[in-house]
Amino acid sequence: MPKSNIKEVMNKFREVVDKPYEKLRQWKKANEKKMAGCSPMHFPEELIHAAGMLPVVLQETDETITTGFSYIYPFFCGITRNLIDVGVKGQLSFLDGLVYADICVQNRTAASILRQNLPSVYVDVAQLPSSFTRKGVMEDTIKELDRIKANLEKLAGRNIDDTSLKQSIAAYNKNRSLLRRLHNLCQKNPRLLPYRDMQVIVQSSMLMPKEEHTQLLEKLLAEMEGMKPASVKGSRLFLSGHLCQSPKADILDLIEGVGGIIVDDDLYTGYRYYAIDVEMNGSPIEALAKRHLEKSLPVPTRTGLPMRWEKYLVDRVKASKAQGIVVLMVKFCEPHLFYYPFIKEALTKASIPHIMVETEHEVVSLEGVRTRLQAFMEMLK
Amino acid sequence: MALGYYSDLVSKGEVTRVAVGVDIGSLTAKTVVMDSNSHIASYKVIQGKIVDEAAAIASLNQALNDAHLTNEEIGFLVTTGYGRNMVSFGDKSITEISCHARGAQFLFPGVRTVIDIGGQDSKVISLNGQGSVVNFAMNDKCAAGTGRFLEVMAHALEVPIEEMGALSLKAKNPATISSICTVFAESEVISLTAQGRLKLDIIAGIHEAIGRRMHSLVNHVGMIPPVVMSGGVAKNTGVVRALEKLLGTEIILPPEPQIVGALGAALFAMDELKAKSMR
Repeated sequence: MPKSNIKEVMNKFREVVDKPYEKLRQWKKANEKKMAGCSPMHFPEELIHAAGMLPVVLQETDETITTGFSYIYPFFCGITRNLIDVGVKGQLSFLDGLVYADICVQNRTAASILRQNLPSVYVDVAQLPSSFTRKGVMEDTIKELDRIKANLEKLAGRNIDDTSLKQSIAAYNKNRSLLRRLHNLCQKNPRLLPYRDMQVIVQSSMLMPKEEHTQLLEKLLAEMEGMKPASVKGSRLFLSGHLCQSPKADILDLIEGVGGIIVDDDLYTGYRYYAIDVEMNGSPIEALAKRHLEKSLPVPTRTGLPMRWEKYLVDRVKASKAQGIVVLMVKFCEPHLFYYPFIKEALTKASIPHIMVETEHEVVSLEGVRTRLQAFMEMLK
Repeated sequence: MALGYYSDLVSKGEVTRVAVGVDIGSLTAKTVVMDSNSHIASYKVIQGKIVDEAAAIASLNQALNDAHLTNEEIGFLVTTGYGRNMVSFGDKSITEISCHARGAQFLFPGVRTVIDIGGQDSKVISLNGQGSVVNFAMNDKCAAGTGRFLEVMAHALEVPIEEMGALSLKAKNPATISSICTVFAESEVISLTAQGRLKLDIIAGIHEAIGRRMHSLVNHVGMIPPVVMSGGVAKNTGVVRALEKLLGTEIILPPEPQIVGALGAALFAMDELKAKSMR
């Protein structure tokens, strides 16, 4: 495949990411298929897929917040304010359903505001347990997944049997494994793709029909795996944070522009999304519950995880041979802010240089960020 | 002049040259010319309402002139400051954080903390004792507490900015001023003036507000003495005293605090020059 085909595939991914809701509306009209949105992070998209609907993970768009201002506090995070804003403006009314998984207080508030303002959309909140050490947590998770499953069946007008759910899980596992292959390839040959493109690839996986995305990804990988490693000069960096939204491309460009070579990440629109597969043996609902409880990557919205986030991060940074870590903090992300002091302490203790960059929905002063990032690179040399 | 101009001349082996650092800040442009013995041959600070390439070139030309040198005798030129990437000349750009640290270490070997308050940004840099930066914090959202903040306050009080430091030391009952926002702080100053508060007390309050803001930035990186202060605001004795009181430590002042960044840039240029001559 000539290089121009990489461009062609990337353009297809970019089309949907640049204007997600417009593209999804067009897709729905053309395919006459039901579509259900879900909040980022914890909700298993496989359930929506198995009901024969198109699952889409809601994304933050660049739109200026206007009408939404009257519905939400200004000290809520960007994606929450943005989703409420586009919701109350009617831009999400093409959805048939919208399922939130309980992530944080802000997210729950968004669900109730959207429920009131999107009367034609079925809106539900999946109360998936956040404390993993409680007795009976597995039973509760299965019970809640079964409840949501029954509601999705009603919405879709068809049953979700074990066979179809397993097929959906297999389709998702396949896509995840390809994304991991791409991740590993870019770890071995950093800068094969600008990191902004990596985000586009993952975000488009959250928005496009999985099978279509998988096909395009296979095409892309076939080409990329034959490419010569890019010549890179700079400092190896690990990127952490942004738990439920993609970092702005400008910030990623800045990091690379000042000589940062991003070798690994734990971003939601990165490794976190495709790191873990769902088991194919036994009951598929149990397998989804297991993925939520036992295979969850450390995250500040869950407690009682097998490993604390800061330890996990230190281990991952060391394994990736990164010289430093850039923590991307979404302004007003309470769970991340709560956890940050532990991370800072652990990184300092492990002598891992780090810098925290706060990002927000509205424009950040990029010149100041550039100076701080460039100074961080100079410090690493 | 184009990028790489000076270094190209050296690589061609045409001349042995001086190292130059140009710090293009928001309110001033500073140049330091360093001779081959790492001595400061000359320096120049140019104050302007808008600092652009012309101001940067003016400071460079005047510093060269003072040292009886011409452009052709520059071996390597490093730009720094917020306008470091804006200008079309220079061989390399390095951030003001690295440059202030390097300049301060040159002047005061063993310095562990550098506080720099410039025209529109302020930073605290932590060094390891050998001159390497180990951590830093910088104002990233707003310019309250910087040189521009002081300018706005001086204007509101109709007091020459150079006199603010000495005046504030005579204050007996400092006023309380918000340290959060320049615009709101200006309103507070106007309102305090209307209430009949003494200018001395208001100025002392302004300096304390800057001190509190910097204190919080210092806490981000942790303070280890000796502490050096650089940047134009270090010339204001009132701010320095307020900070010393809040930090509970003595602050060492360079003879010319405004050129520390340009000095650091010149030292980095000297490294490049030496490395080139060894190749």
